[in-house]
Amino acid sequence: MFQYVVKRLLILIPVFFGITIIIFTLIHIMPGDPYSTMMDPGLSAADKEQMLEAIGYYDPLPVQYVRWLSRAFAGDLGYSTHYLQPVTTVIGEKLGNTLLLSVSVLILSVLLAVPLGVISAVRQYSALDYFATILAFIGISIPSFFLALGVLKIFAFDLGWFPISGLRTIGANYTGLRALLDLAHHAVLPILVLTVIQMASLMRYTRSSMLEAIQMDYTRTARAKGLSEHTVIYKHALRNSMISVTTLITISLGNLLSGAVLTETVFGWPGMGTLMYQAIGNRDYSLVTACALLLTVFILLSNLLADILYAVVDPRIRYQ
Amino acid sequence: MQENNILEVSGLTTEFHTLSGTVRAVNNVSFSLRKGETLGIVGESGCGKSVTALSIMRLLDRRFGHAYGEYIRFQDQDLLTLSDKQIQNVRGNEIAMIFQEPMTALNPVFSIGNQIGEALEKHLGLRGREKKQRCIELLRSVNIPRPEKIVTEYPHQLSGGMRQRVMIAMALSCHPCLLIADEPTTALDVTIQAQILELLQRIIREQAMSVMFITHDLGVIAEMADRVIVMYAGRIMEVVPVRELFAAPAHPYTIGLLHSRPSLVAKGHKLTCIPGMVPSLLDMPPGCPFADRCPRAEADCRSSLPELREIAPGHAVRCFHA
Repeated sequence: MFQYVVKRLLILIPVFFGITIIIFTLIHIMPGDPYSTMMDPGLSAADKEQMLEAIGYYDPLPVQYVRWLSRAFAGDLGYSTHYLQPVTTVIGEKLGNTLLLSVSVLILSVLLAVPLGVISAVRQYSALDYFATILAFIGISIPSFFLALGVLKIFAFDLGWFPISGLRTIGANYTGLRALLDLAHHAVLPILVLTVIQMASLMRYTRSSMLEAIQMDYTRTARAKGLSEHTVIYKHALRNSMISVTTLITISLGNLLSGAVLTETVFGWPGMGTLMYQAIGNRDYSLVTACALLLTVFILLSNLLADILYAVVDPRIRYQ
Repeated sequence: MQENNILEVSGLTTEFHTLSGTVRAVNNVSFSLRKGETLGIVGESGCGKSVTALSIMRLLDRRFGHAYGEYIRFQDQDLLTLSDKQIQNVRGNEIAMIFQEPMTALNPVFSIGNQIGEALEKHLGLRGREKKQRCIELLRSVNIPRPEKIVTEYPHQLSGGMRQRVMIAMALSCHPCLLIADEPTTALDVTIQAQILELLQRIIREQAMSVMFITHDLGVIAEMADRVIVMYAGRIMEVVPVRELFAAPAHPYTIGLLHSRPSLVAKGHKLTCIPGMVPSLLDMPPGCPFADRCPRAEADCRSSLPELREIAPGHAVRCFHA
């Protein structure tokens, strides 16, 4: 087990450098220079060249890459040419907003989708199964922005239960608990929309892996031992179906940071999705590379976690 | 129920509901099993032998199939009418079952000890150290080396033969009086087959168990069974003591089966086979299901189904012309 984890960790190192090289190169071969908007338009072409030279714009790419990476390791991700602030400050703010949404969505969707999928499989073709199946197909087939607009129309506009957009009530200046409640109030609708969409596929996945486990030979063996139906389903079948479900959930952790551009846009939620989308439009190179780096690290770590959890739940991996 | 019988099955019929219609996999099957007897059930794939066993254990998937009939008497209870809870107390306790595929019959995510221990805990109430000790003893009794270590290992760490030994240990854990072995050696290498058969013979003798032994291998039948039921297309075609099966088979199908065995003596000859195909369970002819492939078939065979009739003591055959 220890050996297995170490091996997984070591594999991450070349993967990390490979991905960062690709990201860095791709962004730097994009046409146009990002600094022209920062400079005084009255500057002469020669002065501009000189300034670019001074900040190392013409250095060979490998040199720039090493410089960028070593600064990144020291916690300096550069300066945003659009926000005129250090990149870490810009990201920090949005990251919190996105995490608030995505962590709540992840927890809610796992808590709802996994039990629902299991029951759906155990009571295959029951009314509950059909209900869950229909719900899942709605969640899978409706585009997120459409669902978001529909939810906004009904719950925010017609019924007036929730605010239309934003993070907090503008001008209210709540503090303490009031501020928290205000934030929660604003988060309900985006969380609802994202949870429905997340749940749909997770539920279907749980259902099918549970159905598969229920008809395996070992489930029949468990019944032949005289175990109660409850033990057969919730010990023997469930434990096996959870192997793939755990992996799926852990790998989807990687999406936590990237945010949901469309949903964030509809709800005016200032998160990472919107940030990255705008950074690309603004040619805010340091910001784009920093976001990509952050995502890379996070996705690699969640894959590592997936590998470790996989070994925890499946002895066939653990003892290899 | 006759006193020296442990199991009496009467009129057992098992149906599966498929998209193309209802299929009768076991058709009005009646037989009995004497105490201490090993009853072999032979027939080709799909003849209903495994389904018969699963029906007795009530292990059919309820969504797709169901079994009904007059009764399945085991000791003094009718297995067909037991509640779910009651049948759970019989399974693994009084009737145990060994399956064909040791590679998939064990749960990959639980240790061997955990899986054997479950039955011990459920039926005998053993726990903790006592349970583990008993698991180790059981593993030792089926000739597993280093049982103290194997008990903590997982199925994927064992070979096919070892896994089948674990399945046997599991089946024996609560001293069942009836053992149903569904092709227990089919998936194994020939040498391992011989070892497992030897082990089963020893255990059956030591524990004076009654056994229903399902196989399509006539060599195994000769080795294991006292009496044999030959099944074809969901029906019993012949019931015969094992000696007579080989010496004086009566049903044309049984004779066909015996002739299609490869022989070490008659080298260089082509294997004989029974011409034709098993009729589809969806489209059973009204008469004898074997009529279309039978060398002795006449008009009466195609119009009506012969009854199982006794032609010698303990030897019955479903054929007009045997």
